[in-house]
Amino acid sequence: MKLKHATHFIAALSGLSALSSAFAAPSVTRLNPPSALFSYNDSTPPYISRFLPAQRFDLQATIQADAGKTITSVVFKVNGVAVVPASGASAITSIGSDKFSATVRAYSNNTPGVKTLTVEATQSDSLQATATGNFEIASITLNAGRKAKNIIWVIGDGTGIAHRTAARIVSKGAALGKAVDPLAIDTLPVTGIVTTHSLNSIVTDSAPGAHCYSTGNKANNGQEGVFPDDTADKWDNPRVEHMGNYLARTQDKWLGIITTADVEDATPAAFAASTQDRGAGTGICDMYLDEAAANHNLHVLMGGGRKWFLPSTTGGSGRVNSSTASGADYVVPSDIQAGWSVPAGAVDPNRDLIADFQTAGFYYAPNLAGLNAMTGSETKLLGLFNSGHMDVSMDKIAYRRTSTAAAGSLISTYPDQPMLEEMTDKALSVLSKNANGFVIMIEAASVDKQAHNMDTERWVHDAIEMDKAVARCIAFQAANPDTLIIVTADHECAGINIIGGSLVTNSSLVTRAASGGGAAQLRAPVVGTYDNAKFPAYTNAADGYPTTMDVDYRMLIGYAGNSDRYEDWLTNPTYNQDPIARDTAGNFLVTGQQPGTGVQSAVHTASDIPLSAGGRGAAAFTGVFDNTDAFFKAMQAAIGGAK
Amino acid sequence: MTLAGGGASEEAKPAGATQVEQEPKAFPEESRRSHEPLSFDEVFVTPAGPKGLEYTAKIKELNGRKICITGFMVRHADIDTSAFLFCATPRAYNEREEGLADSIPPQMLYVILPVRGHDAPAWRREKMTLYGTLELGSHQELSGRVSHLRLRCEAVTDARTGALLEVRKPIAFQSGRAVPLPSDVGALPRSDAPAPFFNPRRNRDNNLTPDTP
Ligand SMILES: [Zn+2]
Repeated sequence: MKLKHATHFIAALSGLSALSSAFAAPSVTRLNPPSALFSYNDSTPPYISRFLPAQRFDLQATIQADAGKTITSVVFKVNGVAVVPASGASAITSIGSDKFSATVRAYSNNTPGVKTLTVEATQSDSLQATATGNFEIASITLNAGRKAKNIIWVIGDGTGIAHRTAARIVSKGAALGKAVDPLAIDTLPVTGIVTTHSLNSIVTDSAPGAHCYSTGNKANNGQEGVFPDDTADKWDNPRVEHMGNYLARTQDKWLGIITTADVEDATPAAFAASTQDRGAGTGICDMYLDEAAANHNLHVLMGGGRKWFLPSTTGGSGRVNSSTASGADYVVPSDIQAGWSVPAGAVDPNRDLIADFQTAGFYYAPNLAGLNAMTGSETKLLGLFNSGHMDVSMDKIAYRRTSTAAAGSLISTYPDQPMLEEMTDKALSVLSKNANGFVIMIEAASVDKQAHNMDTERWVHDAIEMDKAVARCIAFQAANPDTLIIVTADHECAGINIIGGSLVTNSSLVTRAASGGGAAQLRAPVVGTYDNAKFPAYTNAADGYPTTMDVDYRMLIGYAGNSDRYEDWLTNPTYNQDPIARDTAGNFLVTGQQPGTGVQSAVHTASDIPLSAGGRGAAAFTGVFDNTDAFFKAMQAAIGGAK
Repeated sequence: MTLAGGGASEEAKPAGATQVEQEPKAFPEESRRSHEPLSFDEVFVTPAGPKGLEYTAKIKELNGRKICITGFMVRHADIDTSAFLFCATPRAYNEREEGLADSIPPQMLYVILPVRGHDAPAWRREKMTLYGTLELGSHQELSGRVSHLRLRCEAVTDARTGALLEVRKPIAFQSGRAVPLPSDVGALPRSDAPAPFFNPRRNRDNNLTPDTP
């Protein structure tokens, strides 16, 4: 009841201020960090923005001035005490249409508790505008046990419950009602369920879906390392300090980021970059060196995306000569430079970023042979194995077995791409050289990408590749007990589930797929549900991956987040083939609920996702919790320790 | 029955369709012969070296000359209304999801068509052979994407039949082009704005009652 009264009290106060703002024309239209108090006059939990003690974040307000007037001063107050910005670390910027953006960069607070944030803006004619929000400084229990020296985040992009189940059925088998063997992921002792909404939608994309783990906060879709603002500038948004930066500063830990995607893709970039545009590849990759290697102790960066690292005149370069276009380079305003101790950045399309990484002491591996040629003395590692996203597990393995490159893949161009588990081994061997420990993000990216494409065999294969990387992490943890492993996702992709098993052999499917018979050939006679699904049986080859995905009586997958696709249940010979342009000979069109305009593939869903944890501090990762909670649980283990 | 209007051409016609159309004109044989065939695996030397990609001797020879090349339109509405992306295999490119972090091969051909009124290229599924003049070198396109080979396209033909294909369609009929990319602005409600139609925290008070024993 106390809470209820408090709500009414604050609502009444805000009512007064709303009344007075009808006379005082300037108004505050945005206050960062985001809060329900600002947006809904609701001061009750959950508090939208939460930070660690001493974790840095920017304060920002957008103020609408009267026509022709300017905003001359802005004061932010926390619990009534004016915030004094560091030298050069604040600004009031005109952003057009009589709007002004006021910032104080890199604020931090050491005292746990809920704080009231007030902004008071003064217009050139002395009229004032004020607004109130709040944020919480989380409390960390100190000396709670041994600290997690190393933290390993494994993110299966788009990897929901069913993606894991499918990987288990294919790679481990199920019979007589039980899984024959568990996945490596299944052996992690603690399990939680994670909610994934982003700041602006129930359905997140991968940028806020990873930003939450790196910062403990919510972001808008498409944005990473920042809160939303009202400018088109991709690089001026209010920032939140990344875990890597915080742990480098406070504990001198090292940071590693490895992915099977382009390294500028949303999930990896959300662990180091700060931009409202997840697509700004040139700037994000420059930031990896200029900001993350310099301030976050970034020691390992591996994945695809070599195009961003090549001077623009070089064949295959993707570097963009602009700070505003898609793929843009970065330039940050002076208050960010001063507050966050980062360089200004520059539009420099001809930068040789590989050479710059090498100058900064990074060993560069262009392929698996390059990784295997490491001497063991390397302390910094850059691996760029493809121009864009790396090729997928199924096609990499097929090439290793038969020297045949899948159509549509880039394997003829980049034939020696490592598997995620091989990248994981090398990353752990480099990062474990730091006596103060490390944090690493390992992303299995194409579980999501191939789920979008509704290419069943390829995402299942990538989920198996992910599990093999997890097995390497578990082995590392066994030898290094003060290691916390967290295996989760950023969101579910494609509304995937296992709907049953095929009633027919592979050769029968091949015949049906060529028949043009549509649903009459490929639905009722093929899709076995309940008892008829039985136990689809796959075998593994000596390399540990499925001998073939085209077994008789195979597992069948349905997609609830689907766009239109043709389906013949067979492995698609061509990589990334458009789902409306493949399997057409079977003429079995599965119509999607997803409208397809501008998206054209299956979509992310708002379903909760599974999280598995093991090692130091893992016990906290149980129950149903928000994705931002995972950050605070991990930081409790790193800062305060755990039993 | 005639196929009037411009909207119906996108889907392949059912096999049993009976209407008689004018035979689509083919690209003239003599024009065809003046174009040197190029394939997507002749663009860059493979495998790639440790850094960038090198053009093959053959494609360097063909720079500035008339070529023909066979492949598929990428299912994607480029912001450049005079252009489409062309690759060896049929693929969809989801710019909203991926930005420019993608799997589109660097061998991708950026095809520039003569501008025609309020038309823009609209995806068609056919395997196509394109005729035009090849241009090499990195160039930043309107979308920000850097292309490494471009075709000033004279003719788009059906690779199977040789018939000329019209890939341009009025922009107004292309719903995919109307979807804006995610924007930074206006995402969150604010307390001094009119009460939102849907306040996600509206039931808060009702939910608080179990607080007292
Ligand atoms: Zn996705």
